Amino acid sequence: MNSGLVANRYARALLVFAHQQNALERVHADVLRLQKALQEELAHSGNDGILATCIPQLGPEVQQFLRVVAMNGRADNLPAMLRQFLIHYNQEKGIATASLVSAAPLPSLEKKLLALLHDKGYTDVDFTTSIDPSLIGGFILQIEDQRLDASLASQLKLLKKELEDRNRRII
Amino acid sequence: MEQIKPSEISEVLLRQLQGVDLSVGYEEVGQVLQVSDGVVRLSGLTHAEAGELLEFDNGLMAVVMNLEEDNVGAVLLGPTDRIEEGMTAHRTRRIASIEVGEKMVGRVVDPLGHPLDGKGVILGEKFEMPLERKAPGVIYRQPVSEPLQTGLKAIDAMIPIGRGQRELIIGDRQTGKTAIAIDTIINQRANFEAGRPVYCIYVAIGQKGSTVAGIVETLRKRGAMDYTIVVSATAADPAALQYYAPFAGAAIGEYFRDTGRHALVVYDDLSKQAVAYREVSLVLRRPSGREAYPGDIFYLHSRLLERAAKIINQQEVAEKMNDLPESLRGRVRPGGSLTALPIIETQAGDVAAYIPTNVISITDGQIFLETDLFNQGFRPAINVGISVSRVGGSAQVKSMKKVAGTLKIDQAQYRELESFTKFSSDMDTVTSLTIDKGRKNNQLLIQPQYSPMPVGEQVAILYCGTRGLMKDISVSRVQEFQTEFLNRMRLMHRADALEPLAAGRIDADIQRIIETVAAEVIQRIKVKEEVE
Repeated sequence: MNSGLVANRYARALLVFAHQQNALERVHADVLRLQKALQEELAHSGNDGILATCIPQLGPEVQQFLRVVAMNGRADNLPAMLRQFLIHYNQEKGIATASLVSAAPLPSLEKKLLALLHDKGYTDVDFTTSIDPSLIGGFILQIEDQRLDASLASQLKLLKKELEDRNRRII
Repeated sequence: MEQIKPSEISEVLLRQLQGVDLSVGYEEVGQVLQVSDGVVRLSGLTHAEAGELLEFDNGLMAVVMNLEEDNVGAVLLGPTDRIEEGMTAHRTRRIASIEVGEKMVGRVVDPLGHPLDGKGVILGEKFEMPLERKAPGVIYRQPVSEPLQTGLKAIDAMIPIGRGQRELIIGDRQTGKTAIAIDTIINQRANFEAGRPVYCIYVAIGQKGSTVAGIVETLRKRGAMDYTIVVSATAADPAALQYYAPFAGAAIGEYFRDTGRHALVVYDDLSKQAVAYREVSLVLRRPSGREAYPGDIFYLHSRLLERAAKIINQQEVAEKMNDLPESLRGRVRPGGSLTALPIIETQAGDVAAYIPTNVISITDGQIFLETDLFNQGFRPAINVGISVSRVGGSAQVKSMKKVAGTLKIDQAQYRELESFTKFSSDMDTVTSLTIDKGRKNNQLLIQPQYSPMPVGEQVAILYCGTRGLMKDISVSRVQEFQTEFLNRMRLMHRADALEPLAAGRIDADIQRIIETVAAEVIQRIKVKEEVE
């Protein structure tokens, strides 16, 4: 029940600590590396021991943070803490995360979207793009937790569902 | 059969396609962080509301239950194995609800209103009723005033139930709890035939699929499915569906209640719903209390049972009812009612356990069933001493009240006297008469399953019992007397005795008819006894 609360407190403490040590950017990079290593370790991607090799390479702030987490027996909440830290970091810096998935590379659309986001007040956008041919056409844009699904695949899915609902008597 | 032209189909499809809204817009999404038994945690969904429906990309639905600082906990309304970490769910901006309509009567549905009986889609006009809805406030209610006949002599005479009442049926396993509920549903056939139906909703929670199928078949055979809806969440369904099943039953009942009709809902049983809710709560890591149930288990049952009500008989007040769903606006009629018969299973007769005490305190009375009585052949196995109906008395048929008003206290007196006679064999005439009458009345209250009795006949036969008209025959002949007596009454005195009795009238003429018929039957039985 309190997992969110716990993670939030640790994340905020880490942020303040990073500020005090004047090492916000290093901590941010370390958190990203640690998060990636954790995910790969948990996913058993065949890259065994990645976490063990990652930790010694981290800066002293995050190492100290990990020690405190372990000492308090809150290692279970570590993924949530890292996630919360990144949310707080982005909020502080005014960074919006956005992703664009499209069926084919759309460089002109990317540029347009970036300009659009800039106009909307998102000064700094952490923009990732990926290609998914199963969309058939169109794109899926996600800014924070808002999603704009303008892909052909999902429109076809919607059409199929609507027709099925209307004609369920016959099917 | 006429051939279907391809153009026809295309035209139909075109028309349908033109009606499909394919415009895209922003939707709020969340990613699955964690999946556990029937529960998911999602990040994102910052504006999700409690009780809101979420839809996953594969069509599976979930209901938001926990709103936490950095995540949202939701219960799945489908199989857990179809959800994976990282999947996306979006808000639907609808709260969990069920579509109810007139065509739902006679069907078996799941707690979301999808048919389970293989008879195809439920057609007709449908009204969206929210599963969680506030009960009507005090202004929109009125006291219980009409009887709900169960057709069981023991209940209608001593523990009368009124329309809008909540009467708990409690007892160990295999004591006939479901049988009482089913008999009550079957007994509503007379109302249906008279054009004043009491719509029945039977909610099966956490039962075996085969048991539910058996009950549906019983109801169908006795013609009760014409006015009954069965809501089923079997033991194999996710805990969330078992938890929502009674709410679905209440939502269906509310549709009839708020449109001025009468409805009866049976929750079979709420102990299993409490267990399902405990499971969901524990997986959501909510703090647990007594017997590991969450702290709001009392509120769970009280808010559910509070929705059973008798609605005020004034149109202008009733139509302003609180928390009325949008779909029912302009359709509210006054004077409807929703009666609830919750069922609770006890372990070894322990009514002091957590859930039984809770539900006993919420309801307007309880019918307590006992294994010992059941095994002695007293069926329905009601322990009259500790069964009560706190509000039903004012709704009892007048004739029944007059005839059986003292039956409960007489039987209590008889039991007390009988336990004393175990110590000595000598007793005075008055005591032996009381004991004899008590034994015969006990026999009279025995009633086979699936044979509810019309109220007129009940009053007539109970008149014989309470006035001691059977004092000249032996206890073993009571059943025979009852059959013979009722046959004669039905044949010869339907219009001049049974019908007025059912309407609540009893006068000297009717009493004379009953006494004469009883004397004739007793005479016959005595002659028969002598011959034997």
